[in-house]
Amino acid sequence: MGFDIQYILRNLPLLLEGLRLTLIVSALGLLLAAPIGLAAALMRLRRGAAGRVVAAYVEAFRNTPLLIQLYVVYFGLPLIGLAGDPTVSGIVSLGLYHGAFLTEVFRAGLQAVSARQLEAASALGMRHRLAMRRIILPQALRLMLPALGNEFVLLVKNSSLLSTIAIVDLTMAGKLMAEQSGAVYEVFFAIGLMYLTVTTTAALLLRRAEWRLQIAE
Amino acid sequence: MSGLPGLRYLPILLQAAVVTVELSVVVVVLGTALGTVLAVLARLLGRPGGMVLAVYVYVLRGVPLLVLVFGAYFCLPLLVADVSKTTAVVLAMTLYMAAFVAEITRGAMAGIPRGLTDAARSLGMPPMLALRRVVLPLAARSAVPPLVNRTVMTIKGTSLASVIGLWELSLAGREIIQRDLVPFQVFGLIALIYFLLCVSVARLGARLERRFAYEH
Repeated sequence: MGFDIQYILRNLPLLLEGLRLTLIVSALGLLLAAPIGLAAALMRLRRGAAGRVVAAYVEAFRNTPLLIQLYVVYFGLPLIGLAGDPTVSGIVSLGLYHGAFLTEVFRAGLQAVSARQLEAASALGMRHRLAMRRIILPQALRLMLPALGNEFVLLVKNSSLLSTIAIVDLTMAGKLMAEQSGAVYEVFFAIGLMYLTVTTTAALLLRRAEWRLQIAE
Repeated sequence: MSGLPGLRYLPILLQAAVVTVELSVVVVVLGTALGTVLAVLARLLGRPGGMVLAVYVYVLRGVPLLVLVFGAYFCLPLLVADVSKTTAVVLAMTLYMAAFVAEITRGAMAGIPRGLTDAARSLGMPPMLALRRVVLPLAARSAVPPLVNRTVMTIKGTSLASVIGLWELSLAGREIIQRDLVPFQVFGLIALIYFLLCVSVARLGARLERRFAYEH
């Protein structure tokens, strides 16, 4: 059995269409996960009921498979009267799952910035909210950038699960091609390479951002 | 949406959970063994070994597990006849986990001060013995938390076996849903089973970590 590169080249538009969808749902998933994670982390740092609710959310979503969460959203939403659009279900699931992981990332980042800075800011007359926004968050963001980028790479990889609810992302496009043709090696080689390219690009961009944000010490 | 009617599905789900646990144990054992061997081999082989390992880790970690599972499922039958779904899943998941374990072990070994190896060598220990008696036991300590984390990820990852039709917890759930449209009860129960499995492992890991901790 030879390696039929021609087959891949002929069907490249199909794979690229899948890749495009993978990138779109990943980007939207991150856009949902990041605010969820930040809000949850800010709530988690406070004492009381809100903190406990957030802790329960984080534990529940981190300790169950994304696939099951995806099924609950996808199969469950129509039953409570919301239309079960696969793409929306997929993005919501990715956002909630990675939001839980990002909560811990943001919390660690916020806690890593010295509490004295908050005290200093309030001594200068800044309100808590302003001090958070101007003093703590910018520093925390720099500290958690590596973990944030890492989470995004995981999110891109996890977006492949959306293929199980009939979304034609890169994985599904590859699977369909593999089923319809004999060119199985070629197909998996190609989609593997595409995922690698995306994750590598994300990692490189991140390193550049880290490098630019570095403080001269 | 009350929780109780779902209870009649509990026996079948527990039966499926056994498959999930079996699958997890096999993958964790094989993946940890392979990953450790790869990391040790790479260390013994020096720079070229490190580079080969780096490429392996880079490729396996850069591709979704689902793609590996599909890849094994579609490609293996072309290489050898009669490949079961279990074999395909175990192979894909083991290779995937080994990449993470190799990276964890490599990092843990790199964190052991060079002086310790030198001291062991100057006492006349051959390199392999020094590795086995000095470096690996110390490295194991710092490797425990990330390995536990990986084990939890693996338990969750076994749910992907369902997409190629291997009957385990997730597929059992999907079959019930297709018959009796009761997603909340059934997926709630399934999520609870996964949750208990993962949390137990994490707790066990935390205990292990405390036991292995340095005594000051």
